[in-house]
Amino acid sequence: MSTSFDSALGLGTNNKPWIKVINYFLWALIVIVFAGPLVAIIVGAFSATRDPSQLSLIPQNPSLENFSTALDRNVMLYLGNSLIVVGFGLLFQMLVSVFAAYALARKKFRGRGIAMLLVLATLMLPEEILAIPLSRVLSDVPFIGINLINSLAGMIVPVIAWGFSILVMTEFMKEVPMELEEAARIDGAGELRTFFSVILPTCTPALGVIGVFGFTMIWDQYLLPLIVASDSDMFTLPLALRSLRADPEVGLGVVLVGATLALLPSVIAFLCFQKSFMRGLASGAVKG
Amino acid sequence: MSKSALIERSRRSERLPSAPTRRRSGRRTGAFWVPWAFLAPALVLFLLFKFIPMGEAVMTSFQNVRPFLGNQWVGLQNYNALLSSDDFQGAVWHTLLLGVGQTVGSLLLGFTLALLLEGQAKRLWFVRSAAFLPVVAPMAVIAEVWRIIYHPTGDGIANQILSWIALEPSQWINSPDSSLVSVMLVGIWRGAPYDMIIIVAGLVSVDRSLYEASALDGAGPLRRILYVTLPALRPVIAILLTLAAIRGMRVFTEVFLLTNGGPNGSSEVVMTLIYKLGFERNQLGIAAAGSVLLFAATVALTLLIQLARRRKE
Amino acid sequence: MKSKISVILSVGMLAATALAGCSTGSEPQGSSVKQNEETTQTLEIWQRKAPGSPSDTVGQEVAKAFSEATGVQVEFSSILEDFEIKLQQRASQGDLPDIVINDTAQLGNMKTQGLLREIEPAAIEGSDKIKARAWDGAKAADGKFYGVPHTAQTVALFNRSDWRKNVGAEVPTNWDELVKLWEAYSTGDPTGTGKDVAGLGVPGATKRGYISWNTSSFFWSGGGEYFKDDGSGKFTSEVASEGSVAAAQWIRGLVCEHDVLQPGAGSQDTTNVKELFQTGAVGSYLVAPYELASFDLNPGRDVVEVIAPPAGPAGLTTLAEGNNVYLMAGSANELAQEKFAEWAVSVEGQTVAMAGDREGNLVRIPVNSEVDMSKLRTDSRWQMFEDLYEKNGRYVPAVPNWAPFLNSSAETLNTLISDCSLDVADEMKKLDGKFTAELEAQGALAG
Repeated sequence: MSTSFDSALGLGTNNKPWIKVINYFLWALIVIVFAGPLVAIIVGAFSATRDPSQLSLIPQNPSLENFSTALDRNVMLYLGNSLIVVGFGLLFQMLVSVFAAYALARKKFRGRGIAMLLVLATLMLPEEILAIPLSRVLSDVPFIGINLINSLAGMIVPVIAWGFSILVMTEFMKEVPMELEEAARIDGAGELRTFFSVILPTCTPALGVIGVFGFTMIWDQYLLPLIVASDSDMFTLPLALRSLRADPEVGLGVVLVGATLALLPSVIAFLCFQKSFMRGLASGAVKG
Repeated sequence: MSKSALIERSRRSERLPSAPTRRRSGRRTGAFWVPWAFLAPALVLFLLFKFIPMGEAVMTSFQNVRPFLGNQWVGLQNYNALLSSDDFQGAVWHTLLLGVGQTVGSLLLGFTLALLLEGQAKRLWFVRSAAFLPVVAPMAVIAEVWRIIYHPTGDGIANQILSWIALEPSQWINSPDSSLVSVMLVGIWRGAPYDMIIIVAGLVSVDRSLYEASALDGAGPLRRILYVTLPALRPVIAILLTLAAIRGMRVFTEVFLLTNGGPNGSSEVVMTLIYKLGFERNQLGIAAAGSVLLFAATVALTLLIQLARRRKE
Repeated sequence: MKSKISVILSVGMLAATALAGCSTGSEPQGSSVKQNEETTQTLEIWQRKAPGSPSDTVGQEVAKAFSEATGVQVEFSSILEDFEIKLQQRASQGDLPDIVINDTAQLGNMKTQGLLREIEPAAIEGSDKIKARAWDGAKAADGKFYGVPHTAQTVALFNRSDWRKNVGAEVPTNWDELVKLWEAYSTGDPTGTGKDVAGLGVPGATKRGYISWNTSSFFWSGGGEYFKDDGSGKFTSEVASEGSVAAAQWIRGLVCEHDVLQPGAGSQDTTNVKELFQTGAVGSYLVAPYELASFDLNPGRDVVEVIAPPAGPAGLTTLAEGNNVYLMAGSANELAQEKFAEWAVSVEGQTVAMAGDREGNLVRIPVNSEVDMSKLRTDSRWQMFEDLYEKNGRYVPAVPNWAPFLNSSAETLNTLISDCSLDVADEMKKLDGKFTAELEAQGALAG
């Protein structure tokens, strides 16, 4: 067979040469169109001067000057804060989403529709208008009475529940065949056992998705850290980036350093999570 | 093989007892409180950090907000101010146009990308990561980059590309005629990789035996995609449409940074209008009213999509 | 059983949200706050600068010097982006910082929200030394003062002297010559390399009202007026008057008739234009003295001249701005607040904040007339700015909230330069309608 079944288009490793050529051409085009402008940003971070009306892929006057200015501005501290917030935030976010999705996808119960709607509703609330009331809640959390202002925890806790993750996870979990679950139950597994050993492993592509998007969402948070941090030591990178941008004393090159630093972790996260997409294909548990 | 035979084949495989069945709805096993226990963490967090602040925000939509002096009740005045504003209708129209355009464009382009980049080869990992960059780059930086690309003279990158296909240079974001389309293109550029990732995850989950079966029946790639892949991707597309509807109503940052609704209101969307009438003038009550209106519209739209989906199933 | 759970849950959610909403009926704050003991008073001071910037450093020095001089402990913070949100956050908790050093243009806005203590100039020691013009920036619509002037500045024209010489022009003395100079830049190859450059760089975006803010000097000098003040704190809109229309026509003409602005001006902000000037893509830029240091580096001191803009048909008026020291309402440290205000305007306070020739000065042009700029700064161009400020400086109108007017006028100007087919008089009439409606909404409409 000259086509493979690995993908919808059926492009395998033994294709006709002209198909290969078109493939490579298209891939190169995609890289240029989507990554090109952003490579220009990273390049700009390394240039001492740049022509503001052109995007160049080669550094002009390559220098690390912008980086040293940025370091003077405490960029490393903000990077560290961001990493802590994302590390813990993403972990808990994935846990909470997966639990909630399990209920919404695999259990039939009255009120499921309403619960789903409530989850969706949280995605529709415009952030900006929630800022001030949210800060009030954070300074005096109802039922618990603790003050989360000016702490990294205050930036972590509110992001743990995210409608997008729950939504995506739910949809993917719905597709797991009943047979697997029944088989586990017949073997005497309880709720949690079923959950961890049967359902979850078959959803690894979805885990990859919510991992990547969750990472990016938490990493890019702007309003939440803004209202939580009352002194600048608590700033996360996007916050500091905005300040840099608006600061008349700073050149665009330094801003680009901030942008590069803000960009790279998400890319790294994507590379890591890509593995789980592909693992889903290789495991073949679903394909009987 | 004919189209109907292919459909018949995939339907048949769904009915065979040995083949995996698609579960329609869950089954009631275990205590009634089990689902709620699993949902509890999420719901509690939502209550604390979303619903309670939202309740407050709704209250303030009926007030003249003065943080220090104390709020004053003004009833529907804020809503009136918004709905009677000359720019409101235009903003709604632009929001719809932008939303639909970006959704369709991102979906089509994202699907194409996903098809092209599906697979395990290492070089595909690299290309996928490269294509993913627009999603992770901060919007402020994307705006700067695209402002350069959209440079209105003949030397601007976008205009140079236009000249390859024998078109006149455009003013892009600087002209009322082309500002909305310019913003839409940036949205598609950013949205396609976003959709691509989710679609790739969906493609990975497609049953490979169905591909084999369709090949045995002599179906080429096109038929395969139409009759095996697309149906299998239905849930994924449903997610994407729902998300797109929500995102589309709330579009703000790209418009704000590129054109700020201009020139002359040609790219004004609902959220930029709320920003101008509310936040810029320190009228937080109006901003809250606008947010409530937007929320209601989004809920309505989402319900429509869910209903349409229910109908199809 | 089945439906009960969901009903309880929904009702519970709704009740919680409703209850939460009910709690936002806060009482007016800061009527009379119990004062701390004089010796234990401390100050929390905010300034609108980027944290970690040179201005932050100078700010910390100011705080330290003040503490040493008076013994009052100070907590000094620099906050920049979304300063307003943070301030509102604190306002909603009824816990404002004691002092805020902020734009003069923010006075009306903050006063309307009830955030400011009224100032009696006579009660502030050393206030008589403050330049009369500076007090204009601290005055509200009701004629009373709500801040103590801290720093002042105005704008001048930064111009490429090498380009001017290359095109064989003299320093322009009137608007015709000015426009001709810019046209020469745009068409006459002033760099000698054939590179396409623009005459004047203007941040033409509507964001933050940039285009209006950056061209107000031209608007006023061209015969335009925003309002007529009837003297009792009420205003009428003047933007549809003959002079205003003529001025707007001239500004629009820079794009539509003479084509001397940089391409894409309508979507660019100050950071963009600053970069354009530094990389030699525009020949002139109207901006305040804080850019002296950056432009001395790029494009370089030897090719940049700083000149007073030539007078227009209505003379020369340049936009005056500055910062005030605002004493915030509801403070428990009122004596300390006054001490800071007095120290900040004193010769010592001004000197520390001027930071000599260093980057990040908080005081550009001192408001204290006894401070001798030439002794503190080696760059004589600062003196030119000071003269310009004292002779031609004009603050934004003292309406209750200037921001909406700034933003509407920015929209109109941006519209005019983006579509040359529109009629200037018509657009200014529309703006006039908006201005009048806004004046009414702010309770400041005359008649």
